[in-house]
Amino acid sequence: MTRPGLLVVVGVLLAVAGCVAAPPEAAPPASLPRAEPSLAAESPRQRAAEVTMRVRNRLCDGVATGSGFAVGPRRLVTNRHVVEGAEELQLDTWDGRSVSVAVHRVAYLHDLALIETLEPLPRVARLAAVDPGPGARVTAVGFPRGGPLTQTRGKVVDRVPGALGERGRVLRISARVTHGSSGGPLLDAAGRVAGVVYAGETRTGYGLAIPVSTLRGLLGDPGLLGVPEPCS
Amino acid sequence: MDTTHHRDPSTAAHRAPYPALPPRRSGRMARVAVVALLLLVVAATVSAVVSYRNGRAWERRAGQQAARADAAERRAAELRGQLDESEATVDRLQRRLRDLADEKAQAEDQREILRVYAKRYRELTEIAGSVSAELTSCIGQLADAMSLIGNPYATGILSQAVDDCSTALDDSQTLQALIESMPEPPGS
Repeated sequence: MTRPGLLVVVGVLLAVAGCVAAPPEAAPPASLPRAEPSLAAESPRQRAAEVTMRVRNRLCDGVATGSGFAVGPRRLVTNRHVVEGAEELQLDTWDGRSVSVAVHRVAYLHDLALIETLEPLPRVARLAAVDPGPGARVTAVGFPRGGPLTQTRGKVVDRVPGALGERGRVLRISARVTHGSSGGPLLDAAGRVAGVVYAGETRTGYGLAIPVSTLRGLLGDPGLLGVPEPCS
Repeated sequence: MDTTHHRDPSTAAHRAPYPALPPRRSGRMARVAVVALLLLVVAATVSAVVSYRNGRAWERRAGQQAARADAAERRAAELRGQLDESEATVDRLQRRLRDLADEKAQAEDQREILRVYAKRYRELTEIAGSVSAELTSCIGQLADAMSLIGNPYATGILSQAVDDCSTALDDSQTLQALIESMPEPPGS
């Protein structure tokens, strides 16, 4: 091809290439991708309420109240001292439904107890993989004095020997806990169970919680559980 | 010395200037250039027209999309409002549910406490019944002993009556202490 011919071809190509392309025939999708719904019903506060149960212990000569939380579809964790001496145990969900107790067992070495239920529990709590360290943000959930559900925020202060002579060390938390909160979950910032609330220090006002590692050990070894003393 | 330059006639013809291009070839080049320019002009014109039409099409599409985006935004705002309203309703209902659950739990606590009280009152009633029977027996035996004063058997009957009355009085005092130790029932 001669040089002028080549120039013409290049010129035509450049002219054609300079054309603005037509818009595509198919219109873009009219609807946007769906986002995950996030209603108040699924808020962390509501989730905490749904895993927590009210425990009522009818003793031979009185009534005691405490808290607990679901670790399985029909399995609940609470404190041993909440269920001790029971003539009858009664459970209520956050929305007032009663759940029947099939059987309960208590731990020998720790202030923990497991309750098996006949009906399924509303929501199962997720357990944290490791114990929270000092400074970690936590929330104590429970029914203090048998009243409305409360969620008290605080931080892990340190680890101290158990207040009731139990084996191992327990978490000391800045959240104040009182009677009725016993057996409730101590939740970490992600809403997972980091411990089981079981007592409070009168001197400092700090709460005490059994760490989740101890709870995991108990759940993994049924031999650590025994039949409680009956009401007498 | 002769310094005159002589031109070699045999080479003169070779050194003559090149003849000019033939006029025929020059004209052809001009025609090619014109045709090429014409082609370029046509191509550029076609390109401009196509570009203009496509540009208008893009403009219309952009307008449509903007209108659709506005509509979607309005719809999103509307749905957001509905969602907020629904969340507020859910939140309110959950609070109400929790309040009712608390009231139910309190009522059940009261019921269980009253059940325990009822059980203790039943026990107290049973104890009171037996104390009453013991006191009645004591009174009867004392009456018997009084009617037998002077009789040699009276001493034995009197001694038995005193023992029974002492037991009855002890049980009565225990009952009184139990009654006094009973706390006020809830709601009284």
